[in-house]
Amino acid sequence: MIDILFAFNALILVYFAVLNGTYLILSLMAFRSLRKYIDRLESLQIDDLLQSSGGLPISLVVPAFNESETIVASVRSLLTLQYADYEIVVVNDGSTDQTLAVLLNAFDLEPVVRVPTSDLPSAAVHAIYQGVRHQNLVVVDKANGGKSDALNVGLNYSRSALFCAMDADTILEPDALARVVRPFLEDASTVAVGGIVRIANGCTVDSGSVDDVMLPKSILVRFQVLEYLRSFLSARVGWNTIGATLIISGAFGAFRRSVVASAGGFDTGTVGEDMELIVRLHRYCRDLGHPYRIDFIPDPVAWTEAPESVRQLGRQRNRWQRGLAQVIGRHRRMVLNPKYGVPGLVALPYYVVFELFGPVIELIGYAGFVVALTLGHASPAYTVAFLVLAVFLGSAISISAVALEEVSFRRYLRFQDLLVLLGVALVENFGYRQLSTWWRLHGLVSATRRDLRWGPMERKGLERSPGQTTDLDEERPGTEGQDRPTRLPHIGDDSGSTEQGAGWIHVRFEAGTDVNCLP
Amino acid sequence: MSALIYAILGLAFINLTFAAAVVLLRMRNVRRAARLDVLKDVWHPRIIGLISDDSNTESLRALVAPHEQRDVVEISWDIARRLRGSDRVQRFAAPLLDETTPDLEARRSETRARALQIVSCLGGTAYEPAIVASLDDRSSLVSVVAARALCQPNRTQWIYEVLDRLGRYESWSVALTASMLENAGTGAAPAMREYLGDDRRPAFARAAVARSLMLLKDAEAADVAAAQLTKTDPELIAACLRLLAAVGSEAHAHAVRPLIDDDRFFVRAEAMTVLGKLGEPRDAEAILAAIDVDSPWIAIRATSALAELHATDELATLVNAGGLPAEAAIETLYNGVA
Repeated sequence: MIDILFAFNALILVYFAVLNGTYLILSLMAFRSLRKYIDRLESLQIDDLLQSSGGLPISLVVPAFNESETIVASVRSLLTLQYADYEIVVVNDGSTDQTLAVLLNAFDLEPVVRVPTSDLPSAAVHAIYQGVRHQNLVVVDKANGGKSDALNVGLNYSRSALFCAMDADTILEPDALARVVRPFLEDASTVAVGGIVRIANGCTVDSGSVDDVMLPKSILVRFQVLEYLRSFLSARVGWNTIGATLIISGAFGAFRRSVVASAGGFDTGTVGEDMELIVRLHRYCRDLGHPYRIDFIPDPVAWTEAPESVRQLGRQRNRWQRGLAQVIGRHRRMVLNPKYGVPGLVALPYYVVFELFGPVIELIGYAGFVVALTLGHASPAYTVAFLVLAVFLGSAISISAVALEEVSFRRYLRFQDLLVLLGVALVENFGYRQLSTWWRLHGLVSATRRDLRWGPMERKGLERSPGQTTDLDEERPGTEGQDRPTRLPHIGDDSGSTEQGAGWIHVRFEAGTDVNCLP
Repeated sequence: MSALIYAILGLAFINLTFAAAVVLLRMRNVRRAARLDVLKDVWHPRIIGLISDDSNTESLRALVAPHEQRDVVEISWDIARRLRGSDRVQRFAAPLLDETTPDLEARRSETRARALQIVSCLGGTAYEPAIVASLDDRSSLVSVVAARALCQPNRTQWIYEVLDRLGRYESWSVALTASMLENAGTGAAPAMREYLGDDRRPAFARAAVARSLMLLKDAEAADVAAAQLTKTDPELIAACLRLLAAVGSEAHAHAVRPLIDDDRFFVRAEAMTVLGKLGEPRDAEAILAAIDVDSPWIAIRATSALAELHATDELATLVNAGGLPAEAAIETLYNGVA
């Protein structure tokens, strides 16, 4: 019995060693990559060209469901972005509040006729409106169908070579579009680019822009700020270094429209539509043997509101875990398949072992550690090894994320914010990480029931006077109750693929997509 | 047990040390930023002052302490690249570049590229041979920076050197390359026309050149563009069609007409747009016949072209036909009327 416990504990130690070792390697790669990237930013002032005719036209697709409180401020903010040629396509996803009415009133919208330029399946479109004063503002009113469905409609009615998918409550920094388009200019084979998402809770937000960056007061949100830094600056930059970006946040990502449309658009049968699309784009491009590039870059910034209650955060993490399970289930054929290169051989297996099943192994590991301590079978060597690998190394990785922020973009300028972040990094592994693991385990269990609910989300709003709160029920009934993923038109799930390659343009991406830019 | 406690304390100490290192890093960054701010406060108004009055350039240069030379050059560069009339800033900063020029040979491509930008902006003609040599740098980043530095209206004598290297920039966006060439101005247009008509050059680069000639609205390029429409590369043909749409005349319509039946949808779409602008009423029938019911792009371009040709009968035919072309026709008519 003791031997079994010993062997089990040894396995857990190996797990934590590989997990945190991978994170450490990713952090080191991210450090090198970030330094190089920042030097590159300084060595090529591409802004001059973007201001002239070098910028590619882009459509911002903004799905909105019951956003009447914030949508006008959001759109006003988007109308002031520093970019030469862009249109905003707001998709009212069957809101039951006054979202459409406030848009019609605020922006002097008139009904127009607009031909869809792709035929991604979606819920019925009721009407299309265009701004009289702001000709680059288009509002599509449709029946409720969920976020993916709304994004697909936005894609159908957008007319630029590139589109940017974002959330209605996301605040883009004024130069975010110019920055996110940059990789498309530097490499014509780029099909998708993700920017960094930062947490706006605690910051001063005025007229749709983040003016003063500060840490929030809530410890729960501070933990999330650190998590976001670790996730974006360490993990995503690190994975991107080896060409294995598997996630571009749904809150902010830019895509080559023709390729996404040819690959089937956003999957309405998953709650992890952002990751699913990226994994599918890898698969699609590699199946067709076309050179492509999917990038994550850390300088275009989108600000988002993080959940402030334990319940909300738990729901969010549960949903993320369910999304991950659905994506991996759908694309399981890619795992360890040499045809899919680094994403298939390295990144996806990592996600399967450490992200998907990680919560199970970790919680068993913690339990095993407690049992061994209680029964007196935990040798000092094992105890130290466990603490080093599971706790202290975790803290060191979190501190390294703060260090990465310090050597790169340094957005939290207050000295006390830096100290708080470091303090959070030191204590995060004592309680919060275990809680997060518990939520993920719940998500994994929910995934086995094919749960496609988003769950209600309460928001306080980023721009408000003190004490004012708005509770928005953000449940998306369009995906609720579905028990089977929707079939995609061009790339099948692993139970049977169809029509792969239909619609692909057999020349440089630009040649085909430039036609989208009507004079 | 005490050994265990010591081990845990030791581990905590290591993490605390790591955290302290980050704090020290912040302190160093803050100190650096403060020093730069002070320098900027002093030198920014002085250098801006040179633009209106450069009588004291020499005496001002004498005030630059050796350890501040690099930073003053950076401040000068930041001003010069944003403002017109910066030749006086160049005269001030050029003699201070001796600390920057060794970076042109640095190991890291980013360092070389940055140094190249600075000397190309502040160094004047003295550094032009070095910039031209950088076109052949092993890093495409440095090469592009060099090309951008040479694509200036006052450096058109180097345009052939840039055009000769366009093949290196295949992975870059055509839009970016075209915009770079456009910066060279109309003085470079004859060389670009020559390049566009040269079959030995790579097609993607000629497409970029066609696009830059379109941005320059170079009417003389229309004949060259029309002559390329019989070539095989679709990207080049599409770029030449866009050029013709911008600067072509009725005389070029005959070269475009065969392309409205082209198999490649984007070539066909561009050809329809050109015929809408340059064609005759009789072209409306051919456009109508070439509409592909599966392609919304074709339908949109075709109906726009028909509207340009005032082909109301053909548009009415489309509206009555139903389907995608009808929707496109309604969009054109409805939004046009609105």
